[in-house]
Amino acid sequence: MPSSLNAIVPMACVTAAAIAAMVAEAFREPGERMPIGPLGIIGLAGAAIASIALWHHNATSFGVVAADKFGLFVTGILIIIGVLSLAISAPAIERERLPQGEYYALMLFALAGMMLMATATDLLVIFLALEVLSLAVYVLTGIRRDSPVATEAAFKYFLLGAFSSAFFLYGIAFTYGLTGSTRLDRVGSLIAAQAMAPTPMQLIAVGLLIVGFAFKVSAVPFHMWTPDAYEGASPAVTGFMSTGVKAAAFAAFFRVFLTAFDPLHAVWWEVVWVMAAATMIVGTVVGVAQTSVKRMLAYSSIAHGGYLLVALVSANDAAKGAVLFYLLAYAVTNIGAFGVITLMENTSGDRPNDQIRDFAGLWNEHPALAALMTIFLLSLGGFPPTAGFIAKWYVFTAAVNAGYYWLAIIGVLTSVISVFFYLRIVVMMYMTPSDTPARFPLVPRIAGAALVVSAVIIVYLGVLPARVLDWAVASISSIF
Amino acid sequence: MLLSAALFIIGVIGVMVRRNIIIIFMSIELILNAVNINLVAFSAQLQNNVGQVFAIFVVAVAAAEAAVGLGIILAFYRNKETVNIDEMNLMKW
Repeated sequence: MPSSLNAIVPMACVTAAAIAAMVAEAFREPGERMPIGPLGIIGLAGAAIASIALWHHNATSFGVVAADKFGLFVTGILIIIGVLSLAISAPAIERERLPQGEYYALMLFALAGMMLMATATDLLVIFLALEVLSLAVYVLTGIRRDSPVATEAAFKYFLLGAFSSAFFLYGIAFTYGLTGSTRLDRVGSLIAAQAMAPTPMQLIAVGLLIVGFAFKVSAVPFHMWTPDAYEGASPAVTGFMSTGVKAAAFAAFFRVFLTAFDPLHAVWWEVVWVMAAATMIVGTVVGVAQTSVKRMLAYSSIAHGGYLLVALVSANDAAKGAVLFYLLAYAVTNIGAFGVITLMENTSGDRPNDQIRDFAGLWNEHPALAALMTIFLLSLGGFPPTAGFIAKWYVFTAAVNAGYYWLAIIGVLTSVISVFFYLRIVVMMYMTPSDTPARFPLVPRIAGAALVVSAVIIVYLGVLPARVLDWAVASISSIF
Repeated sequence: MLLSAALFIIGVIGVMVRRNIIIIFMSIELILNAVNINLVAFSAQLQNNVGQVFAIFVVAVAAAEAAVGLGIILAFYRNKETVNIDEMNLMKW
């Protein structure tokens, strides 16, 4: 195989699995059951093997896709997200009678786009990857075609997503006009070579790109679509998109702003500072007022995006390592939490079972599920000894080291407030008796195993973070 | 450049003020075309053909986006029998 193709082997594996899933669905006899989910797992396993093999090689393809350690670390996170999502999707597909071939194929295509986005080093390729993942996720959001809520969510998400892609594209056009190139390294060196005082065109380019990325990572004030899309989508999809899209978008955000636009750090840090502070505050304060668990977790994921922006502002070595660790910790935690919600929805009743009071009495009915949910919520809230605590600790340490004391203070305060709404569910589960007993479902074996695995990863990262953190630091040092 | 900026602004205003989802959708396509004009103009100015290639990619992506978008609009219309965004009110806050 020509060596220039090496860097795209992981996403090629996933794409092949997606195409295979589509073909399998097309040739399926009506009523025949096919193991399409395991097909996706095989593709992801292939991607994992390829990523491990590429770890020390720093391969690049065509100069626009670089499988450096940063990209591969994010790819690894995405593979974990993919496996867990596929595992928790099965009960939702059964219950809602979703077309499973399309569902898995879209999820795998989205994953391939995310991997491409994490490894791309050219603005054109980043844009294409962004569209690949977005188009797949828009459809996944609305895959419950006969549900008015799901289609409304998909439509809002699509409209704002397309709008933000257009802004992003306009920003790329100005960057190209400024430098004559779309490669990040050339853009970076040309901007560094230009005059020190920022020109209006530089400001327009940076501003439009920030708007585009801020939509994708749902930073305030561009977060309006997030709660609606997360509530309307099936919770397994929500778990997937709240972690996968965010991980991929943040990876590209960091790569673009810390390589190509690093010379302009003095220009953009104030904007991102304000956005980070607003995101943390709005995500937490509005989250407190929610009664639906899904909307609450949507605002919680907005707030977590704010913590990641803190790391972007800090932009020192500690922050860069912390980001990767944070993305990993957040991914396993959030997928776990949405996995529990998926199982909760898996009852025969008409109501989706997603209000906070629906969790009442879970401990009596189903102690294992309640215990797992507790671990996920504590990790989201940042309690030791979970992954969430270590991740937040490193991000805030990085902010203090970089001299952004106020940002760290806002971060700690909002974390404390957020504990309130996470603990509200825990209190519901353990201390409030259920009003309508025996509503809780049996847990399918694969989904249950996925939840246990994510809980184990959370505790492992919380107790023994050193090794993974070393990897994170090593991978970041290779590019920035 | 001015033409493209004008198209961009018309598109943004269209998305903000119009109430019919099809017209909003058309406004987004207008913004994408503004980007294309911009890219080609820069390409001609810089004597560099990256911009033209990019514009072709944008056209392809816009077509894919239109297909997905119209599909979602159709699914939405079947459920609600309306194309007015003021009636998208199942979820708030």
